[in-house]
Amino acid sequence: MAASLLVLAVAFLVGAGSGGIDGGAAAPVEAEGSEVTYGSVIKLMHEKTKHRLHSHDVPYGSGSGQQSVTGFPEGDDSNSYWIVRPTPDSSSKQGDAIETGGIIKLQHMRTRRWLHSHLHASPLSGNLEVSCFGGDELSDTGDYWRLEIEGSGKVWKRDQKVRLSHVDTGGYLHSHNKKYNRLGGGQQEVCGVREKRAENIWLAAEGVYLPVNGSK
Amino acid sequence: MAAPGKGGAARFAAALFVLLNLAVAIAGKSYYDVLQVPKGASEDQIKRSYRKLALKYHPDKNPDNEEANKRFAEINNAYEVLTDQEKRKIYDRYGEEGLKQFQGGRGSGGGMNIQDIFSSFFGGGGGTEEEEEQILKGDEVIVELDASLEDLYMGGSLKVWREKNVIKPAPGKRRCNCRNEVYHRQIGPGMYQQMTEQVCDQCPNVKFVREGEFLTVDIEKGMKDGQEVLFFEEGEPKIDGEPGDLKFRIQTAPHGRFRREGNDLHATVTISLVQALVGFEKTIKHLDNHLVEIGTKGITKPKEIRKFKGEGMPLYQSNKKGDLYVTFEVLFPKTLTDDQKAKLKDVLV
Repeated sequence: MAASLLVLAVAFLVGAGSGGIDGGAAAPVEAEGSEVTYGSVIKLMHEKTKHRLHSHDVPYGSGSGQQSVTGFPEGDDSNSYWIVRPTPDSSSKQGDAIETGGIIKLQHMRTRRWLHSHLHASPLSGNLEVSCFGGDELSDTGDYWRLEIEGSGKVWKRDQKVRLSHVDTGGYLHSHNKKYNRLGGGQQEVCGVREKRAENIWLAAEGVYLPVNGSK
Repeated sequence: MAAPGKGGAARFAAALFVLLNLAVAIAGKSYYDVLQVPKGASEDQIKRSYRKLALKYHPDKNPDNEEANKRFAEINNAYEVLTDQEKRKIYDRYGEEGLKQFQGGRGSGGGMNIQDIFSSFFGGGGGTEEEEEQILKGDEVIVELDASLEDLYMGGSLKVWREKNVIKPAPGKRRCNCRNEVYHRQIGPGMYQQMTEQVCDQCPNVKFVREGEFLTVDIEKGMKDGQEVLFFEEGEPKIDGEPGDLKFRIQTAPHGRFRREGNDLHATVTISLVQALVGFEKTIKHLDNHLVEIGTKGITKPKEIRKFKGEGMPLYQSNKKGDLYVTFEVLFPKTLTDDQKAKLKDVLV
């Protein structure tokens, strides 16, 4: 009897202690770690075409001539990673969850430039050009995007349908099957389109998701 | 059979295990951190990481480097435990303490000689001139991580979720190992032209599958800005190669009460004019809530800075600490009544 109580005590403590000495009850695995928080580094997948939001040190040959942004078909490139950042005037910090309607900036992990849009024409379809601009020391309101969660969700989560609405121009981050021949690799155009469409839906996919503050 | 003695036995066991967990938390760096792999890493991943690290820190490559020699010993020790299924299980549950008891109980056992582990892995023969093979490595992923001053003072950890693509077998075949081969084609009598042709092999097909897991980023006391925590092969996958690494770059997060400058801490405290003139008793609450006496019996000038030795940040992997500098802001009264002015003239002149 004493032996079985001992085994029970051991089993309970080993199970509860696996996460450290905080002793907190383990939350269901699917719920934890699924929020997209500030500081998280993620890939955004275009729902319709499954291409990922992507950039690289290659300038547009038209429009603003800034660093180009494309839809990239492969899943193993670190040039598809974006860091989710708050706007400079916000009090939000690393680990804060992001609500629908919130304004965010997306920093390209490899080149440090910001996902940006403005009143230039996109090269293949003549919509709004989406580029990568500035860096750690340079940013402006052209880097601001409003998160719009599709459906009833309040807080941004992985694999959830969202739209990104560009604050300055009103264009939704958009992509479609129009491919760049010169770039190669089957990359397609990413641009801004003012109408809500199925092609402006994106999902947070692969990445490193930082825990929500207070949950550790 | 509800005898009180039985409950006591269970509670004692509970206390014992809490203590063992505590021992793990205070003990040295985790074996997983030493080998730069996540806790759930496969034996293959551990072997590959060991190989890279052992070559880097081998004493032959680092003559007279005490740091490197220490690390080399740590790496071999960690490798020996984590690649032994039984030892790894015990280490995962009960930490280093549990391992010591387990090995003590088994009598001899003991640790293999470091040179034995290394040479058995690399198959004898010195091991110094191992040329790094040309392995295709996937892209690196770098995450900037703000660490709180409390975590950098006391040590802490952050559980992050890593969602990534993993290469899995798929039906069918694909082209692989493609290379350009040169051949000559006759285009006339005695005239040949050099041509290149892409030639590929056939390999089993593969596909990317998404998987996710928790990774624990251990923040060690005294880590400096820019210091990196590495997770071997947790970066981007590479077909026909090995995955790249995942790195967390530590930055000190801003703090409400303290400012960090290297190993030192800076704080500002406001005292009244009376306190500045006649002395005062005051304590400042440190990052781990211990109190530091910053009072004085003497006079404090406005903006005077006092140094409190050993009350700064810990030095990385050392018992030493930097210093705390407190700047005293003196609050002057906005106005004084004539009566106060007269009294003050009497006292101070």
